[in-house]
Amino acid sequence: MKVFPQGPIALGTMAALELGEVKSSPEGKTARYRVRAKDPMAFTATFSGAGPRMGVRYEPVRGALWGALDVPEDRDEVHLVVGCPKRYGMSMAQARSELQPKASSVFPESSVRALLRGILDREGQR
Amino acid sequence: MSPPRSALVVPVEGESLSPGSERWESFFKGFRTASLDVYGLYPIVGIMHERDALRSPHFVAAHGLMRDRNAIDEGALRLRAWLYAEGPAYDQIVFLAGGALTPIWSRAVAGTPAAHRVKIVPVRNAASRRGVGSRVVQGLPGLESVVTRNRLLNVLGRGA
Repeated sequence: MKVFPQGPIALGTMAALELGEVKSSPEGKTARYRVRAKDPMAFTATFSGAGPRMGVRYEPVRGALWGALDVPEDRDEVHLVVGCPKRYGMSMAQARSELQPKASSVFPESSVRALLRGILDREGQR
Repeated sequence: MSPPRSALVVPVEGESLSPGSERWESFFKGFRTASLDVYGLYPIVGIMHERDALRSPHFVAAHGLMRDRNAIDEGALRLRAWLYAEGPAYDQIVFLAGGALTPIWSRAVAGTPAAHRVKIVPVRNAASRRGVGSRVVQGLPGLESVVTRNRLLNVLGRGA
């Protein structure tokens, strides 16, 4: 069972999220999604004003899931980093082993998409 | 001695009964205290504190609503994980159970360490007991009834 959805995750006709590396640390797991433009003009219009929100952690479901935009130093790309704290990840793994649902990943694609939407809408910062 | 810490978890099936809605505010404002946290259960999103749900309406809305069999599976999974992760922080966990998401509770709670601290308050209205109109009103029909209010007050230890 994967924690994060494999994708690609469509963001309407503007862009798609492609899963890159998944890392484990003592704090939990993180996944890095590359935001790939499908409509360059719409993409530029959406992300050109996102500078102040780069690197700011957005955590709508406290203790369960967070996301942050990031621009790698060596690449001209926008990434969405998604994280799951260890305590919730372990709880979710235990619940999954007991209930055995059919889903292919712990977090659905809609949660990753919704994180990006929340970041772009500056939710949680007002 | 500090009062027992309680969590109240309410299923959210639609906008008619969701954090910030008129029904939600008028009903729960009378129950809020410093020792009570009110949460919404969103089948796909998980368990969100009402304060967090109000801060992130687009995050919640982007998930859409799920009312089929998957809603029960997904909701039970997330509630069970929440019970493992956050359950130890509460002396008492109260679920309001009614409507289409009712089967979530028993599936999620059974066999968890928090099970003995969980209390389920059933919410039914007179129409649904008679089998009339039970499919018409969404979002815990009967929530505002005197019976439900008294049950909840008693469970939270604030009965007369």
